[in-house]
Amino acid sequence: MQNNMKIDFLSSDTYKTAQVKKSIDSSLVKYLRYILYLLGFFIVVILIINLLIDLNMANWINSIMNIFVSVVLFILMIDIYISFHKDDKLKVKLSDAINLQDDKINLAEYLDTDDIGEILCNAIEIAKKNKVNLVDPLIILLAFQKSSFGSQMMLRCSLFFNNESEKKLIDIAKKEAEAQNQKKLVFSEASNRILIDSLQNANIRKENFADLGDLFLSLTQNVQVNKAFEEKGLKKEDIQNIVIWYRRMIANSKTNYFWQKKYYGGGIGQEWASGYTPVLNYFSKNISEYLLDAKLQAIATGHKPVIDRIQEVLVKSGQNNVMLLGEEGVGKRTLVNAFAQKVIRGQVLPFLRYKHVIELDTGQLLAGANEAELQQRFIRILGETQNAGNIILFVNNFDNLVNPEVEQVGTIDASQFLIPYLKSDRLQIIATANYDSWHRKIEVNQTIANSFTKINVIEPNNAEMLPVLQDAVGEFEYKNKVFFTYNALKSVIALADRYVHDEVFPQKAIDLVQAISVKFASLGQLKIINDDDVQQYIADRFKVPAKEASEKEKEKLLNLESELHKRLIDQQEAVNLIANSLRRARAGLSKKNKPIGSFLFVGPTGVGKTETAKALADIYFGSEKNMIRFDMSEFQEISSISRLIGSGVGKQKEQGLLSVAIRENPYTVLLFDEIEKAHPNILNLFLQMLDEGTLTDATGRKLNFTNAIIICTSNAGAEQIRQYLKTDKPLDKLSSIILDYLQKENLFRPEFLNRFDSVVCYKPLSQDDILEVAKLMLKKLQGKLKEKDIALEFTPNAILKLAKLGYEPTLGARPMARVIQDKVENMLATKMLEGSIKNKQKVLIDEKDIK
Amino acid sequence: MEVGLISVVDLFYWWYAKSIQKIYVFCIGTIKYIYHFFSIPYLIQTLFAPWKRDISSPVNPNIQQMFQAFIDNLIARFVGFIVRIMTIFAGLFILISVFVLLVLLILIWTLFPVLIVIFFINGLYIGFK
Repeated sequence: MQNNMKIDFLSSDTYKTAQVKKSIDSSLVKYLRYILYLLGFFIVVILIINLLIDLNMANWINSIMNIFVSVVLFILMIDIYISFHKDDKLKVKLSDAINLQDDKINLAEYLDTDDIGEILCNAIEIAKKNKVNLVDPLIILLAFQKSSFGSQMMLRCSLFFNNESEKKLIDIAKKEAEAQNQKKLVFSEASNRILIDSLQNANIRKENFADLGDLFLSLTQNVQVNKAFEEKGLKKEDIQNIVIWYRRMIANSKTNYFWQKKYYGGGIGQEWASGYTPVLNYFSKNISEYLLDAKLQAIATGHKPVIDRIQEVLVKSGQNNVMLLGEEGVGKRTLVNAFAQKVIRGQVLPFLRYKHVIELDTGQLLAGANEAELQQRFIRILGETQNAGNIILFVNNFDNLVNPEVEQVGTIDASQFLIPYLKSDRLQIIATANYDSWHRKIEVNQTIANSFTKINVIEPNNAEMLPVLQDAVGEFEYKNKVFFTYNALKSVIALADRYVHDEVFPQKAIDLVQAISVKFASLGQLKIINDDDVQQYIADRFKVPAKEASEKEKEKLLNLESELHKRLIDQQEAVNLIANSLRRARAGLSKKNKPIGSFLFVGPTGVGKTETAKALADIYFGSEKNMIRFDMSEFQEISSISRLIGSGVGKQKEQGLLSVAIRENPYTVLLFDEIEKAHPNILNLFLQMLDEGTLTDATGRKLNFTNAIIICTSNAGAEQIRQYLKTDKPLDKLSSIILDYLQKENLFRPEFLNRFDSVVCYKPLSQDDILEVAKLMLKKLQGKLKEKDIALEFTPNAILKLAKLGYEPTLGARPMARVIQDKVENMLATKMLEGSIKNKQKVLIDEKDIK
Repeated sequence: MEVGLISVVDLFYWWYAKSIQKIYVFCIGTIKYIYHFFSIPYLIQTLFAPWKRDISSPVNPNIQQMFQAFIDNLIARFVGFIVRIMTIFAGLFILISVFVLLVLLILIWTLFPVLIVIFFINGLYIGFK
């Protein structure tokens, strides 16, 4: 299809106009032109005066003035032509030109003069400067770097060519030109194909001109250009996102002259037909005033159904108040801003057009007022709003105004003043509240709750977040002289999603972007923030391995068995089960919103269950300190639930141990020891925690366990394990046998057991195992003494003796620690105090020394 | 014929044929803007409406209060009427003036190439006189 299409940029009007524009748009020529026009104007005035009253000018002066004016007028004529003619040069529409495939139509006329024209002129300049007779896609890519928006798009892609890499690309183009034996400058076949493809893109958008974005997108067709993008981890969808982002930016940056305006406002007539609002003005701010040109397009598009619903409610007869419900930071206020912008632009139903969205300053309203004053203020404000007739009142955090527990110090309840107005059809209110305050404060008063139509504002997902963040980032970039690459923004979203759980999107991502901008704020040169910087910031701030999440974490997971075996003796099957389970979870093969891993360790005491948890905390989260242990024997009563997840009953609200622990350290191993001793109702809490990775505590806050490893231990079934091992049956059946036993004996309910990734059975330790445990423990002791420059050694017989003394089949390795303490540590301590063991001394402990 | 990279034929063709739509958009846009700014139809609709909705409506009034409210409201409507009628006239005047200016602009636009020629020939004529 493309074969019959003719595209020749070098002979197009687009090229000529772009060349002229490029030369006259340089600042010097621009100012010279303005001076010329000013001079021309004065001369015309002088000539007119001369016509009216004879100034006795010499003929030659008069002649030069006339000729000068004619030249200035001609330049002005060309200037006007260059600036405005580009839309009028087309004989047929782009869609027709593509379909006609007429070789008389040069498709290069459909390339936008202002942006593609400039870039292709730059490409030609680069080719000429480097004596390359072929403008190929790589040179076009280089030319992007020389234009304002083009270079920004490249930087968003993390692409920047320094002199060296630029030279490499030019060399490739040079070789290609030489291979084709080009004598004069031409566009390569590949470049022409890209230009035609960019026109096809424009045609899909139903536009007559291909823009910078169309060309940028088409460039990815080229293998070498695509390779450059792929090296930066960018796919075609990412380039598309960047292009859409830039189209929004370019649209926002274009000057809209008064005759091009699509919205005019209500005019002075409408203002005069609305009432005075002096008290309201004092306690509020008109948010419509500064929103006319705000960048809210992404929000408005993303939340279109919500904005439409707000409109529907506000225009209906009778009670027409809206309550936007959503978590803190979900973007309720921004949503109202986007709606207010539509109102002021007249892009809403006629009844709402050009009204003012006024935000009530509840803080100022409530400040220093007693109940009587407050009543007066409310009556005046709501009365004025009603009377004005052109106001939509916005009350952010409406719950500040109503409070059923009014006897609490510092709280007020304005319900009684509000109710008569809320029922009026002359007052329109948009209010916001979060779910918690809605249930606690508003819903309890049915009259107030029924006065509003509830609209839920849902947290945007990662894909919806991207354009919102793209629009928000500009402000922080400008203030802090930083520049976020596209990948950096994607990282912010992904890492905020993974590691920030006490806030919601979009606020948590915007807060992160702001914090990162401030951290990297630059006084001099612009600082480019890429995904590495974002990962580093997250790693430092949250103390998580965000930076190496993909590399180091993989390595850790692959070597998990050997790492665990350094600290655990025997327990091959248990270690394998844990390692496999964690690998499955991290490879994304398990359910997404679940803890990293959840295990039930069963087996006799002293076999290494707690040690495994410690080892996991050390290996996976970097330190044993990242383990929180709960002794579940302390939670045997139903009343102890409140100790775990807090208490929300009455006015006294207490935080729970588990709530606080997971909120303060979400990246942790949670160890619930002796889980079988906990009250059955406590085990019910675990169902949601293990299944969905979340739990709502008594104060209504959602706790997130998706970054935690949950381990429950139990001694139940220890005897059954022992019996089973005596039978020489295969070990892989042990887990299912124990599971059956636990269910049969009604120790745990099946739904509880099924929630774990694995039920891990620990074997009792044999005497040989205890010997290994002894070696491990003595190694630790040796390490401690090495810090004091004392080299401690044990003879094999000494170790054997200690192992014998420490072996107790029912207690596992637990007595071993006591034996080492009693028989070795005490002796060493006494000798060190006596002075018989000194620094830098070698100490050998033999069987005889152990008494 | 080309001046630099610009074809003079294209230039004149655009000036007298293609640019008409742009001039039209500019003129209509300007008139619309002024029309909306003064919102004349709305001013006519609300010609006798009280100024800034400043009306008093006493609850359970006696005769004197009713009379007082009637007078107050009459004054508010009178003020509204005066301001609006003046604005309507001012708006109409500005609209007509802009219309005349736009006609002048179209005239200058049409004569622009002719003016270039006139100034040039006049310059040569005076020079050689």
